[in-house]
Amino acid sequence: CASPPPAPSSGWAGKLGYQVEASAERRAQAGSALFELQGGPERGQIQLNSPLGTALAHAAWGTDGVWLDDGQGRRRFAHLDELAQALGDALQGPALPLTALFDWLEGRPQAEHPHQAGPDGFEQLGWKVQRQEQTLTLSRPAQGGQGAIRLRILLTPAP
Amino acid sequence: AGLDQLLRFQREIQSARVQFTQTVSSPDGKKQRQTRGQFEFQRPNRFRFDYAAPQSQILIGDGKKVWMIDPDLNQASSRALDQVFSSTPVALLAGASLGEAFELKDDGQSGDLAWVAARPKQTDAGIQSLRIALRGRELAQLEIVDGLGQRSRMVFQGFEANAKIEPERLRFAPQPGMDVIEGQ
Repeated sequence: CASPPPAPSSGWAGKLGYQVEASAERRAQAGSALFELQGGPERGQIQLNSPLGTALAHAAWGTDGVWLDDGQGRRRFAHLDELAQALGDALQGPALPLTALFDWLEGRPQAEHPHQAGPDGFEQLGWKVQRQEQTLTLSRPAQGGQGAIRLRILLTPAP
Repeated sequence: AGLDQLLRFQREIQSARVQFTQTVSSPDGKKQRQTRGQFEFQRPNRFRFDYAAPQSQILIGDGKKVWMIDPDLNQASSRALDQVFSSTPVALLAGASLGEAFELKDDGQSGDLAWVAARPKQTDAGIQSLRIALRGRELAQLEIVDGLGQRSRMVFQGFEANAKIEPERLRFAPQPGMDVIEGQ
């Protein structure tokens, strides 16, 4: 199993809502989930629950790998970006920009990648990032056959 | 005993309104989350869940679709009725017959509660096990172990048998400015 998760104090929790516009390949999608996220890109874990309490996925990553349990058994991934796609599938929604999310939740761009500051946030990795009080809004225009995405994260005090 | 009472519940209770407390425990039991809410249904297949905060979610089954309404996000989305049943087993109780989706058998008595074990016929239903407790012909408790081993227990209180449910409560009407996304 992945190394023990970091202390729960370093974490975020709340509700994640997504909307994906229709595209040539797929109808519009929308949904939400409750989440608990801890740690950082190097070591951490995320729990996704449906709004009705059923567990959708639990993932942990650390020195010995990236692991996901989504009810279809435990699977290992090469890196966080692959996990991000599997988490999106568990949600029946889009891939979550997990690696950058830790910085974006703090309202700052990721240091490793270029970004462009804007009047109400910044743009990075193809996403527009806006953090206002307890809400983080991430929007990405349509690309690669997928409709435009809007992810909204409503933060509640970590458990 | 349990099976007979479940059949009475399905035959004699055509509608109901009941309050519930749902406790969700992690597989190791260390973490627990509790939520309250209200469940209403009208046979053959309409139902409504109102979940209090932090979920603050409304789920309406209008007989054709299931609407997931999130007031915090001011967003609603719909899915076909059969797609959602596995994630809301209680909604099955509002349905015509549990026997189609589950194999049912008596599972003992504890105090005034008679238990029924329900094993999903569809293996990837996202549910490992489901137990239903009845008090006489009324729904008393529900225990679900989901695909990740998370245990969810719903305790029902104030069961109003054959309650009068206003039809519009079991229909979805978007709020002003609400994003509405139809069917996946």
